[in-house]
Amino acid sequence: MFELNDTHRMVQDMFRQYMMNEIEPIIDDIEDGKIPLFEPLRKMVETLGIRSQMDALDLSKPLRGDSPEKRRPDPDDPLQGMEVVAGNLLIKEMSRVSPGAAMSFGVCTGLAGGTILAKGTVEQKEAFGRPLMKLDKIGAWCLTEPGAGSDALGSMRTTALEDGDHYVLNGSKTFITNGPVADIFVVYAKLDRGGAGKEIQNFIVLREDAGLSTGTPFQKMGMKASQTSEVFFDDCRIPKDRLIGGETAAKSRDHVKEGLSNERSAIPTIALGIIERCFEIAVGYAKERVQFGRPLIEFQLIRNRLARMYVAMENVRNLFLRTMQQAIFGGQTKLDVCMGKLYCAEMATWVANEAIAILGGYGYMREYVVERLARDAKLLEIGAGTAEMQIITMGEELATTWKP
Amino acid sequence: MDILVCMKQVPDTETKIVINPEGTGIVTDGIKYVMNPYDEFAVEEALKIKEKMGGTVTIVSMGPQRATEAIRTALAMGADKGVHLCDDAFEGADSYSTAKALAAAIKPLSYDIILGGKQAVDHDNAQVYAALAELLDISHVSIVTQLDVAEDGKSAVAQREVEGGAREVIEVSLPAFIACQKGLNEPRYASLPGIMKAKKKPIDVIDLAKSGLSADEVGEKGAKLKIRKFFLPPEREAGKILEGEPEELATQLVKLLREEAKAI
Repeated sequence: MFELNDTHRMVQDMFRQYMMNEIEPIIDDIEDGKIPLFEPLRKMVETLGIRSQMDALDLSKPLRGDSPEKRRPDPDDPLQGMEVVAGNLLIKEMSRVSPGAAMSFGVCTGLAGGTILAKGTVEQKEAFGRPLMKLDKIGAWCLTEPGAGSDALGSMRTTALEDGDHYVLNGSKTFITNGPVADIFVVYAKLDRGGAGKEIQNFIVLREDAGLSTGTPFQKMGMKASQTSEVFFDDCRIPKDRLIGGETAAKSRDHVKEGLSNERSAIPTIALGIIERCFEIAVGYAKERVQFGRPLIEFQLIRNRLARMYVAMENVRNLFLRTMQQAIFGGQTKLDVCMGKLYCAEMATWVANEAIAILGGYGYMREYVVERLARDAKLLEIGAGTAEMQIITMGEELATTWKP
Repeated sequence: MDILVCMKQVPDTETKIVINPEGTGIVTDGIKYVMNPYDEFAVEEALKIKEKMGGTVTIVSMGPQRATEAIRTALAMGADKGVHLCDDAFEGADSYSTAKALAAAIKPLSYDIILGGKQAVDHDNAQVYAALAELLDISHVSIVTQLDVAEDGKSAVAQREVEGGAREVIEVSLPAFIACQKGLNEPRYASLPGIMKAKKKPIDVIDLAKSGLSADEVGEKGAKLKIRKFFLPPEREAGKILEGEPEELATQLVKLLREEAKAI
């Protein structure tokens, strides 16, 4: 079983200290739109040395995550898998304060930046991938359309028409994280070369490209630290070298699935951040708050809630550790990914709501943090594939490939 | 510049202190330990001096096994190596026997300046640095909020806080011990690459034998001070709210101050 070692814990402590000292005090201003989220995030990547790590990345080689050969576990190497662990710990610690901030950061670096680093040409990685990893540029990842949600690929209507040395994009995307502020858009579209079949490919579109526009930010239930909007392509002409991976790119239906799988794998991480913080706040409150002459934690009904929350937290933690282990050493199946997404998202919403119940009226107030985490948690059940889609995929796997 | 920083690992400042039933100490179960916050200023200042003048920063700490974590934190911030006085014989030390052990570890080292926090936030004695400076036969400047080391590294100008918010400016020849106060600087966060590098930096562990001291010079045996009992301050009783017309209230208040509080 994969466990955090001393070095990982030190990284976790440092991230936590940073989030509590630097992000927590301004999170309400970020949610209210008084501070643009990426300003403090840029300071964060600078201070924590993430920028310098990204500068040091050698983009001429394929990323290790792409290689079919994953490393063997070496218990004597404390830095093994550090990039995976540090990335996950950063998202988890951010999610303890603001899952919305974690989502915006994750979409910029993991989905938009990650797709370019994984599939792009060396020139694309340098020009567009690295700036996204360093937050010099803000990225968005555009898959969902007004008519294509769960059936994202089948119902996709955005097209890219080949026209000389350009592609011309038409269509619209919706629920796009970072849409209102992004500089670089990774866009999925059906490539039309005039022939019969249309294959899905992904393209890099820039804010300054004529024909690209974004809608006004949506008013959302939660994830308010993160801005979301529609993205429109109206005869949007982009040069041919913006096809990710170049002309020889593999048919990118696989990219899309890989992107989704990455997005789903992040859910246990965000969920654990939410659950840890909600649980700590709930226990702290239950010990302090006195009613009928006793602290709440002396009451059996409260203990029942806390005990069940603890079970959920430790289950989610185990899935989080297992997901990291598989990211480092390989062996992740579709069942693993969908199981983690399904369970952890539901537990995050449930634990956050339990925390509100324990805090009562205070739990419903902004000042007590759990209401923010509860509103943000709900999205984990919806984004990156609804609970239903996870179950459908799992059912398919169980019926076909799974063996006892 | 060879820069030394004396650092102590202490319970997190947010710890809720519980006294053990025997009254001989605090309950240490479940306590999170951190670098003494005043020592963070010392580490930061040392790193700034190193960045300006070159040299090495060595962290010197006395404490049980777990103190390694705090040394690693300082190494992750950018210090170069650690010296860890770690032996059961060092346990239960007072300011004097702590200074004695630190001096033994420091004497063989080369140093141009020694920095440390103005006090550790656990026992709050604020005496180790003075005793240590005495044992090393160097000067010390306490409660320092500004420090400028001369270009030749032979002297420094330090500003220190004195009563009434005034500042004293002191020029001191080096080596000297500088006891750091809040306001001196803004300690940096350990960075991710810093943490990864820290893992490979050397920590020299010094036990009793290596320190060259005898068991009755250090720890509880070498202490000049005996702690007889730990207790928490009594809980404050609820205040009294008087009601009535102002004249009545004044009479009541004077009566209570005289008869109950015996203040007048």
